[in-house]
Amino acid sequence: MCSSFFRSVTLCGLFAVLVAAPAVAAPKGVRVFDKTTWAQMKRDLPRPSVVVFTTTDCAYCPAVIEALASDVKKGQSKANLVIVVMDGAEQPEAMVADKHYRKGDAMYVFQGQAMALRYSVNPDWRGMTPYVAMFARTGEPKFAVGRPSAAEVAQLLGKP
Amino acid sequence: MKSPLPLSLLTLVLAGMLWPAVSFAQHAGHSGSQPAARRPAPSLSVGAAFAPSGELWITGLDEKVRLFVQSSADLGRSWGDRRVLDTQGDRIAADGENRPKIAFGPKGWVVITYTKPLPKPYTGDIRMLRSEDGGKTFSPVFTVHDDRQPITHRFESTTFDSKGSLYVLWIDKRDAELARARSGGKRDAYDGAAVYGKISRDGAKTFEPDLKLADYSCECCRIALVETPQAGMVAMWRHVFPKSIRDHAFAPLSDLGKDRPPTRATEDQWELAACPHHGPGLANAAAGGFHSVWFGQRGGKAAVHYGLLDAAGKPVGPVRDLPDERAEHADIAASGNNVGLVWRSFDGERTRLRAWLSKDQGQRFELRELAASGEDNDHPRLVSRNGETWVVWRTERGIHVLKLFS
Repeated sequence: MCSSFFRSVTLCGLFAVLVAAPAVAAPKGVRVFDKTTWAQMKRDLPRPSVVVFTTTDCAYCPAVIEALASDVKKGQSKANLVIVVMDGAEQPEAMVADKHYRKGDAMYVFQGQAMALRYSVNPDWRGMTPYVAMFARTGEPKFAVGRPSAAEVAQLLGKP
Repeated sequence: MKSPLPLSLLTLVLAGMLWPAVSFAQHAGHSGSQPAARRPAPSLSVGAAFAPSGELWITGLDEKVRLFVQSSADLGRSWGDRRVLDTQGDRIAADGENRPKIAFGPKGWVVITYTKPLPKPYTGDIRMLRSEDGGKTFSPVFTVHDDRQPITHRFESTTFDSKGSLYVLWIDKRDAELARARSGGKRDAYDGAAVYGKISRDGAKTFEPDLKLADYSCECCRIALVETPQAGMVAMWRHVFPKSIRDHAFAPLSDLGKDRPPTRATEDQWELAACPHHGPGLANAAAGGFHSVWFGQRGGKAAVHYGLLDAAGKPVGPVRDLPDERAEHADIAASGNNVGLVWRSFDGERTRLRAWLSKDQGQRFELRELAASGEDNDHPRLVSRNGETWVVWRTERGIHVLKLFS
């Protein structure tokens, strides 16, 4: 599944495909999350969507990504799943190859000051991962550390 | 050869006006080395230590992601050339909590350690280079632990004690992997990881076997190591207590391999099924016991906390929040009546380097503004020699060394 938002950023280059270290090919589908990205996501992400911020040393993250992928893609109500790897800029090929990250509809890697990027998402976020931003059909995103509760996922999907 | 840089390279707000005792020194950085657009910036994480000669040494990754060492004979006012070390093509983990480290022992012994991430996610090896000539030359890099499974061996901490024994501790998932295999693959068969360690008595030429210090550590945080006059080396780390409570544990390294439960050192009761990415700091208290600093959540409020531990590592007295709700990755040092904490804090535009200083063993503290930068930056580190403690802080433009107390 690829939404019009994701197609548009690929086609229009609003989010440049990552050009990593010189010897590393730029894998399709890995985009840069920079200081402008969160504002663009808030404006343009299709609703509902869930964005998971993860790191490559976060042992809890794969299970949460798997669970979220299952939660938001089953049944008739579906949400887009976006994976943001906060420390993946030096090895985008590994990000694309990771079976957990591939469960996302789109994948990003942090580029720039991680602390500033975290702040742009939520000034109250202290760096814990997985950090989950849930965009329901309307309204501001809600945040959770770790796996969101069933009630939070239901609210995300607009279920009663 | 020296490579001084002009002070104007960085918009540092020095503590000079606020705190005359602070001296400002620079810079192992390189001008004109901004990464190209859309190219990942190199990690700024460094390890730092004083050599027996009094020189300040750092190790980290350069702009080409190569491991380097560099030293300063004048507390960072000028630096010698960077020397790139042969790491046999290893990838090197270098984020704030897991950075290359350097440690000096007697007889010209020097070791540098780092974590090498392996191709499989969440795995790694602890790698080491050793020197017998005070860092003039280094050995080929080698893997420290006996266990060679492609699993987690990460977040190493490394130090020599005053007798010249070398201790390396790290986060290790061999027991978690075994428990999971025995359970038929259950993810929750084992909480977190374990803390393992190794000791060398000959400057890392040979090591004793891998020994476990404790089960159920957190998996993504640094380990604090301190030598005490009474108990020798002790460690403090973030631990996974029952019901996924992320408090901290404490143990003497004399417990390595003895299967003793660690002491609970903090009581935040932070229930979290996630990675905090925030390890503790520990320093000897003049009156006995320890000063400690850690990040946690108490009663729903996340903060960096300061508190005292007794000689056995149990918390004593009140826990105080640092006077900065955005404080993160604090370090701590103490000498005599002086206690100093440093941390960084992002305000939306700049990172502030701040300190909390006490001259009465932690009874009262005074907040100091040390510096600020709009650039990317590393966690601040404290290094001590002869009763003096210095802050080492790497930003994009260089290494900054500031005196904290003496």
